[in-house]
Amino acid sequence: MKIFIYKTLIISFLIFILFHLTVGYTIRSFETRFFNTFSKEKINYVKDKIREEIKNSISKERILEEEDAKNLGKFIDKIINEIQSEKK
Amino acid sequence: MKLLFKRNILAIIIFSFYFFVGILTFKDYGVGIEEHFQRSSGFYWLNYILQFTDFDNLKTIIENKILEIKDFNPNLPPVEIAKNYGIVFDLPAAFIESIFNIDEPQDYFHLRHFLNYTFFFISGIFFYNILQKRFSNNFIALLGSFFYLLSPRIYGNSFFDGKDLFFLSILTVTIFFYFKFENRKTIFNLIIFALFSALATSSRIVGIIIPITFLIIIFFEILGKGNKAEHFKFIFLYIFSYFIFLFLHWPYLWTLNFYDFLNFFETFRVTAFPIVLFNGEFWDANHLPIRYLPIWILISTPVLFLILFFIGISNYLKRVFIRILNIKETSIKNDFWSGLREKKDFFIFLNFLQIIMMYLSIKLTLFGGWRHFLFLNFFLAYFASFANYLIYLKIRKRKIIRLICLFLFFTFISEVVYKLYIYHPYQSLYFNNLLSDNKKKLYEVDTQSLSRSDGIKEIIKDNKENGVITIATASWTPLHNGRSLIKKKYWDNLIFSGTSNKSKADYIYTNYYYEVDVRYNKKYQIPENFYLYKRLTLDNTVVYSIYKKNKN
Repeated sequence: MKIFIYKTLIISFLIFILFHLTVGYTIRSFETRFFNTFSKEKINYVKDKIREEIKNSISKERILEEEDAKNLGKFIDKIINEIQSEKK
Repeated sequence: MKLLFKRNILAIIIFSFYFFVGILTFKDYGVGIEEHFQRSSGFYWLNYILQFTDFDNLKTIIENKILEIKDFNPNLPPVEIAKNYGIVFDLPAAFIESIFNIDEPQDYFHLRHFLNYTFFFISGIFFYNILQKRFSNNFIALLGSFFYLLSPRIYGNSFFDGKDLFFLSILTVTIFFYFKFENRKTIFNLIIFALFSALATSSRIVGIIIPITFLIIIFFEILGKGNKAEHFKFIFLYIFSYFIFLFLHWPYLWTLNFYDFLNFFETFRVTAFPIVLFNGEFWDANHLPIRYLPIWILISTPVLFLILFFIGISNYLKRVFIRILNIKETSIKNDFWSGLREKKDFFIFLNFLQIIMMYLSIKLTLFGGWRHFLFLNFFLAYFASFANYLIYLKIRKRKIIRLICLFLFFTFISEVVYKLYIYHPYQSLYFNNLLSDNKKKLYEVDTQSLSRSDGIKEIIKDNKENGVITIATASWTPLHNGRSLIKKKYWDNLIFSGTSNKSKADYIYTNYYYEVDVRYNKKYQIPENFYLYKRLTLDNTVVYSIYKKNKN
């Protein structure tokens, strides 16, 4: 009986340690990486960066290259036409 | 020399010297970041307890103290946010402060520093006694006490950290009383042990490992041979007195209802979620890598202590492993230990094991280095002493090797003492030689905001005209609380503008401790119209800087 209890205790302990050093460690590493990659600070930083870039663009004389503007214009027109024809 | 060791004369001289140095220097330490809250907590609970008494004069004094705290710092979080804080240190400190009418902020913070240091020193004597009884060798006991008392981070914290360091002290005393109970199994010794177990639990909830270990040990004893009726008697008496003492001395428990008891452990979760600088990266305090704690211990504990700890713990693990292999259905001795000394080692080992299991399985919120785990110093010093003992057994008959070892120990300990000296009074910011100088800036340093009073003093020194000056802060530090160690006559000249409007201030103080990722959040950026006026660097570790406004 005593040996059985000891074996149960030791095996449970080893499983616990093994789990946390393998599966538990991997889950924790992913969790850590995930939460630290998408931290509030970083998201706010990206938002601010986008805002800043938009402001900079507005203050410029031109935002797009002439050719890009033409192509984008044609592209948007085409999409609008297609949507409108679908509505009809 | 042998006589000095035999009669503990050397130990008495060294311990007296240690205490004397502390007494001479305890006023040099700044005020810790949690000290204002802890002081407030002490008065809160003293006031609460006094409601059940007729001490009207004392009640008035306490009420005035509470008003004074609110007046001094209206932004201090209310005690209600952390009612579960233990009262073992804070309440007696508040009581002494009230009884002796200590009204000057410098005096009552110095009193707290003195009390904390004294209690740590007393725990050092208990630790010496634990080792002396365990190894029957005064030299090993003295060396182990050096490890316990001189580890720089521990020594530094022993003055101002009434929570984490106080828990280390009380843990040591509790283990001493467990050993005392093991030496003489009387009901009185058991009750004293239960009392200290309760005090340890209320000081930090992790103290609950002691009763758990005690019950595991008795369980193993019941499984083996022995007087089972006596064991059950001890279990009953211990649990009963443990809960009685816990309830009697911890007024927080008086305030709980049935539902609160069901969620008892939930309230101990830390609710602050700062960003933590660790190894050059900014981490969410709730999602720190598992290596956080081991690396902090590795870089901020003297190398010799670490080497000896690893020798000690690996040898002990080997011993436990062999014992497990040799377990038989029937045996005369206990299966995990033979004799009282090994049983004591096993008790310490089981406590240590539980802490590792807890660290691996519970997602803890950690910040400020390893201050929440400073109590591990007990285990580091114990197993380092165990290694010392093994080394001693191997070399005791070889005179030359013994002399070489003594010389090496002396050299290493001298280096630690030298570091204690050059870091003074910032020993709590110590980094060992494993961390190169250029990597020191990759870790948080003044997490306890210890340098703020010194920073303010430097600014006052520069304010020769004695006019009103505005000081801003560029770190996560309640700088205005640093006033507590500044003479009151200067208070009216100081305006603390906090972290906003830094460009309008006259000086900016920073200890480089942030709760945000400063790569993306620029709230702590120093404005361009400021220049570096003063920087304190100790052992190539930057502690704090003061920036002054450019008048041009």
